[in-house]
Amino acid sequence: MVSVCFYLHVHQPYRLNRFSVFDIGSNKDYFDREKNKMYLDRIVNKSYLPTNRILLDLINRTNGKFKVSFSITGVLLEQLAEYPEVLQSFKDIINTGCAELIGETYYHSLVCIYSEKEFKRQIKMQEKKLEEIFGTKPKIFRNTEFVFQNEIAKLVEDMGYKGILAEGADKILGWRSPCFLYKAKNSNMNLLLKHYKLSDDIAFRFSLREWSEWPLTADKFASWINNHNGSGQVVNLFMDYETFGEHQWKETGVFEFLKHFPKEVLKRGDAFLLPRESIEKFKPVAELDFPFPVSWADTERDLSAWLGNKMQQTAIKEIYSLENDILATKDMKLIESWRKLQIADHFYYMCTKWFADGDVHKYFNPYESPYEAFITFMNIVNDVKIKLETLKR
Amino acid sequence: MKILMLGWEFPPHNVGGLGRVCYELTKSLAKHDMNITLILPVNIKSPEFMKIIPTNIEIKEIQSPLNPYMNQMTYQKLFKYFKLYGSNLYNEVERYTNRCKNIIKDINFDLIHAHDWMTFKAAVHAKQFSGKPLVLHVHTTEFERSCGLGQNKYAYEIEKHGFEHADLIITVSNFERENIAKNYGVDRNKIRVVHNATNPVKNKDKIKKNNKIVLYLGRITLQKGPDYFIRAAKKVLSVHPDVTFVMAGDGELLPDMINLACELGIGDKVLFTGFLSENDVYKIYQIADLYVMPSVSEPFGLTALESLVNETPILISKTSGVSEVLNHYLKVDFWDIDEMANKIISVLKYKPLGECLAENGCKEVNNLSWDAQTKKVIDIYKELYQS
Repeated sequence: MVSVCFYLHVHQPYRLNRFSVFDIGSNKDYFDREKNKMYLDRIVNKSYLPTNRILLDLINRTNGKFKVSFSITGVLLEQLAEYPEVLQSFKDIINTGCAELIGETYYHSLVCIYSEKEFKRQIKMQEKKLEEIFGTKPKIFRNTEFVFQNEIAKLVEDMGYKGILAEGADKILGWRSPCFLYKAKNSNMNLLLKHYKLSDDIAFRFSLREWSEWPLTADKFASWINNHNGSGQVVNLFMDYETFGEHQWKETGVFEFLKHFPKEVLKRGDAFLLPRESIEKFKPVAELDFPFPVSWADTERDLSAWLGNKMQQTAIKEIYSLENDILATKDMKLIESWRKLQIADHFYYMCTKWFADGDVHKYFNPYESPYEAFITFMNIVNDVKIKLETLKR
Repeated sequence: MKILMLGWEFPPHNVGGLGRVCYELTKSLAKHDMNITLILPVNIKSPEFMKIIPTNIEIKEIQSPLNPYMNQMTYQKLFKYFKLYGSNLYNEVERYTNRCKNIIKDINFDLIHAHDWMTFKAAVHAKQFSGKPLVLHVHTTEFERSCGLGQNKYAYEIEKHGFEHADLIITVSNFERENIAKNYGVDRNKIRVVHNATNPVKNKDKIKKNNKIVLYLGRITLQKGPDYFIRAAKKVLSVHPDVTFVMAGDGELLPDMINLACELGIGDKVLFTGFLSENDVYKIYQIADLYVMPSVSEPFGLTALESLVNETPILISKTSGVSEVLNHYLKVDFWDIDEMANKIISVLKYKPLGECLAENGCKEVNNLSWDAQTKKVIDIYKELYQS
């Protein structure tokens, strides 16, 4: 019997207002409420509501044999306060006991690279938010964009986490299979590794007509999972939630696929498992060394989508160089703005490699070009600096 | 295949992008074994001109002061010095057309390829005389030169007449394809797009300087939007008084622009260079921190590519064709002076912005080649030749 761990990451950023150099020092809002609402309205209707209906229905119909786990970023949960119906639909799923919430950084940030203290603060904030809304405390952690390296295991272990979701990258695994539980180097932290091939079959290739396996049927997909019997214990299907209805539109048949593949999996005698159950059930087979940061993005599986060019590096360094001064002001509004400016998406929009890398990055990009993204961001950072100077005086 | 090409004077005597495009295209076509008879209006004979022409090009010169950017006013100014030619621009175009007719009688060709309106009358005649297919290459139209205001009826009619008789039309961008479809009622199926390209630059000397320099380079005419550049300069200087703005090029609006800069109180911050030689053009690209092309309507915008091969980032208007072959540029509505100033200041203020734009842009432009574009032109020839 193969176990399937089905995990969805749910996130939407705060997009920035157009902010010209002439707006610096003007008290203009940094965040574009209208645009954020516009995007969210669309995603709620195209993805969150229909997908949650299907997920809840699957749990009920299979008598709890279907299981699903989520990470929902703090910044999205804030925004969903305006969409009580969506929050309720997540609560309904969590309340079945067949779902698990995963911990992460509240601001979907890459803070782990820049500040240990702030990293921990943002994880705590996320725990508090999950407690507030869902009344649960996460046991398993996933870092923003699956960014993981050895040092992170220790930090997160100290905070009481038992396992981390990470990318099953070839450069780390080598000949080994992602279908087992592993352990982080020099730590007791369990590692659950994404089966990127099967995950991407749904997330990226589902509607790709040039793909030799198109169309992907529930039956075929379940048989691929079943093929791991004898060579693996658990298949970790980790992907963005928006795969369902947004990255893959309803017209591609992705909802029909979602409705049917769990039944096909169960029919073959395989089972669904939550991450917290996975670390109970299995023993780590080996220690894995992540000597450098690995992410789940692009073919490179590194940080180049966020920190690949000089603009991105400059922008992110600027924002983290303000940490001590900003926190010292104790001005909650400014601190909150500073944190929202850490959302990884801002740096993703500045990526220039996507002219060669396909259109994944273009998705949801509110800017006409990465250069516009950089200009807007830097103008806002300069406005933050002016506010900071004023508060200091 | 034998091509009758009605072209324009080559560098270094060209006054704009068209001469350069004709030169590169003809040179590259000759490499692809096309036999070309080239008819050129020649004003001053250049010794290096003959040297660079490969052997399968035959040149037929017509002594004429015509250049593709003339209008009645600029022709009249020149006319003072060239008494032997037509008394006004239209007479001169007629005289040029008649001279072409004489040449065409005595030569063989399979296809006619003509560039911009002044050659169109002769080109249509060549088609009617020989029964051979006609390709018109559109680099700009009267509609754009006049910015849609009070265009010269004579030129417009010649263009319209030419488009009607052409078997196929080549435009330098999709943007221009739409423009001529809309403004001249041309069937889109008759129009093919071949973008321009540029050659890599070997010598790049980064010249040391103290000031930030923002560059305008092009003919100083209504179509190119020079006044938006000056107004944006005023806006930038109100925040960053140390920036120098250079307006390079000549044109009928030059005196107006000098006056405008003085009126706005920035006369000492805007330098006017007049017409620059090819060598100086490359130097000035290299010394600039940013090249701005604020054109009201720019069918292509070769200068944008020239700036990028010299590793100078570009800020171009949205109404330009060159953006169709590029990803790494800043763009703005030509009338949006605030946003133009915002982007100019951002490039000057945030160093990595200009660096990323220049590096990526230069790489991207170096991937374009005249050779690839010439193959597209040859495919268009074949399309007609075979049918």
